Amino acid sequence: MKKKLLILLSAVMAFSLILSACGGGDAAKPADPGTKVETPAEGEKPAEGDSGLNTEGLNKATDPSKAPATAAARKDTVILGVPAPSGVFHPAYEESSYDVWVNDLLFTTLLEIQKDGSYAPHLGDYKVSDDNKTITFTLKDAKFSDGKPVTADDVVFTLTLLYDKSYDGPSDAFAYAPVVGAKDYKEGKAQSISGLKVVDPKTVEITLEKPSVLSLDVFGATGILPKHVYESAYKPGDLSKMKDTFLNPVGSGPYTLEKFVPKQEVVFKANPNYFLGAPKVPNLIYKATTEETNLQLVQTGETDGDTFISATLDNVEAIREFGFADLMLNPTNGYGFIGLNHKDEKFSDKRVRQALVYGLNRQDVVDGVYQGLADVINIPQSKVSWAYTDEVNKYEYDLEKAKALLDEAGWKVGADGIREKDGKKFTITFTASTPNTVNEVLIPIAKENYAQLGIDFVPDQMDFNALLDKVEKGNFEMVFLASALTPNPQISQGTFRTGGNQNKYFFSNPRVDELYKLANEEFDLEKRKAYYKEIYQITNEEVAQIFLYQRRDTLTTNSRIQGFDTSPYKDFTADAAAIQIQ
Amino acid sequence: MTTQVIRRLLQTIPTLIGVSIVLVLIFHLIPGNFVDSNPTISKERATELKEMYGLNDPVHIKYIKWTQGVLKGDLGYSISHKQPVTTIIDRYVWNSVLIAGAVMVLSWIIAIIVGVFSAVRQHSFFDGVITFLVFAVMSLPSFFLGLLAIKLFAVDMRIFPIGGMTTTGANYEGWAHVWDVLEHMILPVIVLTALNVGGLTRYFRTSMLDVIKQDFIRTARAKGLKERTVIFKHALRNAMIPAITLLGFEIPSLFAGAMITESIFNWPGIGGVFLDAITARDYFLMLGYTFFIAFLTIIGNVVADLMYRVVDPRVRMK
Repeated sequence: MKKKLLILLSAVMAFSLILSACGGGDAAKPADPGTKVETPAEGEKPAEGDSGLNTEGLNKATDPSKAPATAAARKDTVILGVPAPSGVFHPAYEESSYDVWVNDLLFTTLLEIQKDGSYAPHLGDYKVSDDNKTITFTLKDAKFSDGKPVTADDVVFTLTLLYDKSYDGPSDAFAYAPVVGAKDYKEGKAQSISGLKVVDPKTVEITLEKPSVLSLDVFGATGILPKHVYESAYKPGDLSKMKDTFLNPVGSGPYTLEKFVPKQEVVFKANPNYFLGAPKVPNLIYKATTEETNLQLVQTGETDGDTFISATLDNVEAIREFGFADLMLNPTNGYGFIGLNHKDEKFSDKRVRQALVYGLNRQDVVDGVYQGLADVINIPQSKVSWAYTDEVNKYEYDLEKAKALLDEAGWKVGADGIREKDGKKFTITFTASTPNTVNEVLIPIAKENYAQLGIDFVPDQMDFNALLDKVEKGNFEMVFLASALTPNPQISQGTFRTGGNQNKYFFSNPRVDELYKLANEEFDLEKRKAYYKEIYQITNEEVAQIFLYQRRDTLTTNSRIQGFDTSPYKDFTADAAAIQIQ
Repeated sequence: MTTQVIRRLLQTIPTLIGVSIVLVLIFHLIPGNFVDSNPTISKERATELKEMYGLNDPVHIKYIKWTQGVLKGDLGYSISHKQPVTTIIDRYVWNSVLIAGAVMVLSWIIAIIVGVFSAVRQHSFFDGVITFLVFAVMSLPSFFLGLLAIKLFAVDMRIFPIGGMTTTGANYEGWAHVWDVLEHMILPVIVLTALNVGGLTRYFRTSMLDVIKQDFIRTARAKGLKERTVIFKHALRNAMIPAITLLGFEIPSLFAGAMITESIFNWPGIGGVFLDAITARDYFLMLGYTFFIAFLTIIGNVVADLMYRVVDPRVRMK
C-alpha cells in the first residue's frame, strides 16, 4: 500500500514538474525566440492598444530586416494565407468570399469597386440613359488568357447564364436587374434575352424593365466568361455541365490557374495577356490557413501574409512585435446591433426605444469586447463608405435622459423599483446566442444599465441556429445579431424596408420605403447620397435597431511585398496585379 | 461460412433502412438552411432555390427522392460546393484516411506493447507510471495538445512544419513529395496517437490480465516454457480475441476525420469539410456524409462478427 502511494506521489510530482517547466518557459519568453525582441520594460505597456497603433489604416513594419529567411528566399513567388476556397471557380456560382478571391484573380469584371465602395470603370465603362432604364457598356481592348479578345458576345453570354431556369448560384439577377425579356427567356418562350443587346463587338446595350441601381451589382460585378470556352457547357435550361468547368477556369484576369489542391493551395501564374499589363509577381499562391495557425505561418515565413487573422488586441500586438510585417486595419464590412421586435407593444413608443439606447453604455460594451479595435456606431453604414453621414444623433450614454424619456412615455417606477404601465411590468427578454464573445460582455452590462433604468432585463441564451429560428418566426423581443454591409448601400433595403427579405424586426416607416425606392431608381451618386442620408437619419431617430459597433479586419503582409492598398470594400485581390517583391 | 456471410449481410439491410430514416428525419428537423442564410436574395428567389434543391419537400418525399439516389450510388448534391456529395467525400476523405490509418497502426502497436507489459508487471512502478501518463494525456483536450505541440516543435524549435499537408510553393515530385507529406504528418499523428493510445492500452491490459490468470497459462509455465513464449504465444493470442471486435469498430473512424485536430493542423481532411457543412447547413452533404459513416459502422460490425468466428472456434461451435 505504501509503495503504491509513493509511486503515485512521485508520478504526480514528475508531471507537475513538466507542467511548471512549460509554464515557466512561456512566462520567460515575451515573444518567439526565432526573432530577436527588444523587450519593453514590463508594465510600461498600456492596457489598451499601444500608443502608436493606427486602428484605421496601415501600420508599417518597424524593422523589415527581421523578416524570416524562408520568406526572403522566395524571389518570384508570393504566398498569401487565405481560408480554404472550396473550388467553385466560376463567377456565376461563387458562394464563399474565398472562392470570390480566387475568381477575382482569374476573371475580370466590367466595373471595379473603389475604396469608398463606389464603382469605377474597369474592363468596361457605362452610360445610363435619361430614363435610367438603358445601360450601355463599352468594353476596353482586352484579351482572355488564351489570347482571344473579350467581346460584347462574351458579356451577353455571361449575363444570360444568370437568368437561366436551372441557374442555382447566389446571384438574384431577377430582383436586382430586371432585364426586358428575361422572364420570357426563363420560361422558354424566347431563344435569347431581348434586353441584352450586342450593338457592336465592343458595345452592349442593356434595357431594364424599371430603373434599378442594384443592377450594377450584377452587370458590373460578375466576371466575364469567354463564350468560346464555356459555350459547350451551356444548354438553356440545363446548366449541370457548367459545374464540370469549375476546376478548369478560363478568364481575362491578371492570373491563370496553375494548380488547385483542395484545402491546401491554389497556385496562380501571371497572365501575360492581362489588359492592364502582366502582373509583376510571376507566381502567386493562396495557401489555405486556419485561425489557429495563420499568425504563426506569417511569423515563420511559410506565408508572406494573411488575409484573415482576426483583429484581436493579442493578434495585433503579436504582429507588430514581429517587426517585419505591415498591418492594415480596416473597419469590417458589417456591424453588430440589437434587434427590437417592433411588433412588441412596449417598443411601439419611439421614446421608449430611444431610452433603451441612451440608457445602455455602448462604449463600455464595445471596449470590453474589442479593447479599442471597434467603434460604437449610430447608423448602419461604414464610415469609409461614400454614403456615410455623421449628421445623426450620437445617443451618448445618458441615464437621466433615458429616465426622463421613459417617464414621458408613461412608464412609472413601481414599488419594487421596476417601471410599470397599465399594470404591466417593464421586462425585456433578451434572446442571445451562446457561446458568443459579445454577449458575454453585453449581457452583464445591459442587465445592470437597464436595472438602473427600472427595467428587468432577462437574458435567454441558446444555440445560434435555434436563435435564428426564433428570429425567423418573429418569436423574440430583443436579440443581439450582426449584419453584413455591402459596397452598394441599397442592399440594406432588405432590412429596413417594410416587408424586406431581411426585415425580421417588423420595422416600418413609409418615408424610408419611399427613399429606398427613389434611391434605387437613381444612378447619380450625389442624389443618392442625399436619399441615404435621410434614410440613416430616420433609422437613427426612430431607433430601427440599437446600433452597436463595427469591429476591424486585418491584412497582414510581410513588408517585402509592397503595393497593397485595400479598404473594407476594395479587397486585396484588386491590387494583385500591382504588388511587387522588394 | 459463405451462408453465414450472406445471412449477416442481409441482416444489415433493415438496420440501414432504419438508420436512413432516422438521419433524414433528424436533418429535416434541424433549424436553418443554406438558402436562407444568404441575406442578399429576395424571398421569391429563396423559395425558387429551395424548390430546386428539394428543401421544401415534405419529409417523406425527401426520403424517397434521396433513397432513390442512394441506391444508384448518389448521395445527393452539395449546395455549398455545387458538386455531388460523393465527389466532395472522395476529394477529401483520403487525406483523413492517411492520418487515421497511421494513427491506428501506431496506437495499436504501442498499446499492445504497453498493455502487455503493464499487465505482466501489474502494480509495478512501470505500471503505475504508465497508468498515470495514459490518463493524463487522455484527459487533455486535443486542441490544447495540438496547439502546444505546434508552439513547441513548429514555432519555437522549427523542427516540424506548422500545418498543412505539403510545403506550399515547393513543388516536390516523387520521393521528395512523399517525404514532405510524412514530415507534415508527424505532429498530427503524434497528437492523435497520444490521445488514442490511452484507451486502447487499458483495454489490452485488462484483457491480458484476464488471460494471464487462467489455468492454461499456469499449465504452460508448468510445462517449463520460456516466459516469453508463455506471454506472447499463449497469453497474447488469446488476449487479442476481444481486440478483433474493436478493430471492426475502428473501420468507420478511419474515414470519419478528426475534426478538431485536422482543423488545428490545417490538414485537408473530411472532418473540417463536414464541420463547415453543418455550420452552413449544407443539407445533403451533412446527410450523405453521416450516412456514409453509419454505413461503414454497420459494415465494421459485420466484419468484427465474422472475424470473431474465424479466430475463435468457440463462437463457431454455437
